[in-house]
Amino acid sequence: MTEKSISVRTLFSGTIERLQSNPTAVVIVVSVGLLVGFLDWLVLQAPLPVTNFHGVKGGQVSIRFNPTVRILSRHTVSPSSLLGMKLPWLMWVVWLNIVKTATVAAAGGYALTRFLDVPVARAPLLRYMALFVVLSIGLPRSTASGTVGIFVFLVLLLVLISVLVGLFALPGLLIRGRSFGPALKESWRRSRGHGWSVAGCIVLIGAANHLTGSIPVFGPVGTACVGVVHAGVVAAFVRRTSQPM
Amino acid sequence: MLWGQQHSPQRRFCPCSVSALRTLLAVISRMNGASTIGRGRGYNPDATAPKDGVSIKWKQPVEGRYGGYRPSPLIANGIVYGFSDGIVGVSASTGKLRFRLNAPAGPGLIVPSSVYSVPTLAVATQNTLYGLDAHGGVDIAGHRIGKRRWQLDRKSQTQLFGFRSPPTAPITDGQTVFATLSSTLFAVEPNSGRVRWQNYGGNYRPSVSGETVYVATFNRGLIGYDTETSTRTFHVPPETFRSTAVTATAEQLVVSTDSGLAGVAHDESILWRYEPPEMDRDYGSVAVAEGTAYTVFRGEKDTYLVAVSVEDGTERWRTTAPLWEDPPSSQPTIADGVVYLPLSDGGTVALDAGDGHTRWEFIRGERGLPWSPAAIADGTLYTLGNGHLYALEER
Repeated sequence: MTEKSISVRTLFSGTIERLQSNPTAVVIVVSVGLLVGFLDWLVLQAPLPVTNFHGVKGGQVSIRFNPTVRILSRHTVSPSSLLGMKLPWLMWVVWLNIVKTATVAAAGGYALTRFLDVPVARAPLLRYMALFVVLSIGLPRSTASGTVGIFVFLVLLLVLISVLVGLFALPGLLIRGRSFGPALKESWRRSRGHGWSVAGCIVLIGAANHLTGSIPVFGPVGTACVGVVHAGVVAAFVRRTSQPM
Repeated sequence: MLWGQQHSPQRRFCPCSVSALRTLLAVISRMNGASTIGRGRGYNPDATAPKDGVSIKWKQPVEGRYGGYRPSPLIANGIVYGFSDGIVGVSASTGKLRFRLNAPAGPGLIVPSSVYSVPTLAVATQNTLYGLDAHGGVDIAGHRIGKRRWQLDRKSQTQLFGFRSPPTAPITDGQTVFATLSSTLFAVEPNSGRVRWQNYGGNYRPSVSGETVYVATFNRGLIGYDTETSTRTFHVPPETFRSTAVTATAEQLVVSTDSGLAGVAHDESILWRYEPPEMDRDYGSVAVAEGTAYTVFRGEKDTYLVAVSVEDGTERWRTTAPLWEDPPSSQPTIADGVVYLPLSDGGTVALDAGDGHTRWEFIRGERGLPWSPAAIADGTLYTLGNGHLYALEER
């Protein structure tokens, strides 16, 4: 049944219901948050140049949102620092990043699977993980830094949020078995009429990510909790906007 | 001679302001693919440099720099680094440009790396220490990729009045890079740029001897910290003298003060003082070699290069060379019995270390802009001036 309008409150109510019904998925995602925290600690034990996430502590206000479920890593080795690295260290960094990426992508995909009540299948999960990787490279983070003029900034922000709204349901539709092209079109179609609600969810989730990620040591676990909620909201939105078959 | 050797108990140049480290580097770097750059050693009895006259071996254009060229060039592993508006890396043997970086350019230091196959070039500005790829990264379609490995920022202190000191050169003891940024001394892990410890450091270049790093601070005196723990292990209070630079040797510390020079034992006792009433100096580095300290003083009408015995503080000679009026910009470099100094109105002069007479002068181009202190390696003198990085060899 398709509702004419879905509120932010409706989506979060649906999220709570999804989380309560699937505690295993919650535990798995939060556990991956602990793993990411451990991997962050491992990076700090090596004499590697690391970029640190300061968040609110650095005086930065930001909305950290990605259509796929993310867990923030507070300490990363930037790509430019990899150049010229000796092979053992390079392999170490690459391995850490592969483990981090694979576990976070798999955990997010699994959570969506459970929240959407679909069986765990390899092809949809792989499509979701591929989207995760592509968006890791291609999607810039929106930052309320105001380095451009305020009017230009607002226009850019509007454009970015519009794109994110259109992509909001994409991960859920991929998990449901759609291929990329049709899932993308359908995600865009489903967002029509619900743009403000979805934008509200994006802002809330993005701000929560930034705030929880700012907590030293516990940042990854905090963002894992937000990630679980994100997956729940996506699942709730996809279920609410499903057309009768 | 590899860079990673222990800090030598030899006399070293006083590292105080912009190009003090260059002064040290000049005397010790070698062309055999290795470098002792950054050790703080100011004198190498094996170093040779042009003594009786020079000719241009090669020259490479550099971006102009308002106010002259302060940091001296740096030589390591066959590359000469020039710091002006940006950084250039030039092959020392051929003069061919290896890379040009639009990067903040201040005094630099080469640090070997256990993580990278190419050493790290640590470059200091007033508030930031950068760890760069010593080969300038990789050129892809005209863009330098991977040139910056890490960056340490220190919040600048707002200063409405008073003197704003130029960037100070970083130094190293082989395991840690020490740099003063905005009155704070940082001990930095060279591979990652992480801060091992930090403490009050004044505004002048530190100096290392054994397991102690010394900083000259105008308001808090001469301070020494344990290089590992940052515990203060040495202190001469400001009431004794206002220190502006320090050179640490195995036997003593040679300190530049606001009224002259002083020799201080490692037990904090004052060995000697040199405070000529007819001359003064605000700040500036001191070069020490073969029992003599060389530094620039400002007289009523002239600027002097003065040679002082570090045994008892007696003056050996002084000479009025047309030196840059700003003593910190007149950084002496010593090799093979010759003292090299940048001239106030463009060029470099070579003075005999024994009596101060002029051996040769090299002047080019538009006068009025000070040249950089010299750097020396394998019989070649390198200096920045007149819009070029020059390599000068014995004529």
